[in-house]
Amino acid sequence: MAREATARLYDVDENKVALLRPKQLDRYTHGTIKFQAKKGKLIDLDKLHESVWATRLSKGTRSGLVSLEVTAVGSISGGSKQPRLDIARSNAFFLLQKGKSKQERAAFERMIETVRQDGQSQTVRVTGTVDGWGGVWPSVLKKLPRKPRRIIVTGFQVAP
Amino acid sequence: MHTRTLTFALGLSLLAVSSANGQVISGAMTVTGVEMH
Repeated sequence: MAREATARLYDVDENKVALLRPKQLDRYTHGTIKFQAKKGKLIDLDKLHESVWATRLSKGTRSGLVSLEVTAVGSISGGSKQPRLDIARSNAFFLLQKGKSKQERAAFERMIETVRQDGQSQTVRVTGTVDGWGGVWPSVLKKLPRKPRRIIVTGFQVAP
Repeated sequence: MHTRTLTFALGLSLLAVSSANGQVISGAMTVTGVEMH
């Protein structure tokens, strides 16, 4: 109810922020908060960190941050050794890393191959897990994760 | 749902309208300790 009120107050589409709770494993379980930028906007991860910090989540709550997966749009540069995603309409960038799982490795290789074939200037959409965003409260909130930001690629597609 | 988690979600709601120098178009943050009743 409070969230709906916030959505009305700030003209936010309530469908763009959702708390998903998967099957209940025990009394304390995982939850995933999905969020999406307004059309034409980009979400700043520094502000995201600040926003979470402002909740004053403290130790002893059996809670913490498991992971943050993001999707960003831009163009890839830097070659296959250390590719980076230069964010469209921004000076920001992510260093892109290959993950350990089969799916992550496949997504990374597909990205490299696509860029190799089609060139670096095309616009792509990369999804990945942000490195360093994980841990228990409050230690995960005490300082900003390191920069440059790195994401472990979990998905890739050429932007339409 | 635990109050802290609701606060957390509210913070993200506010965030969605305050982006200025951002990097991402969407995200999914997984947290532990969502208290079920």
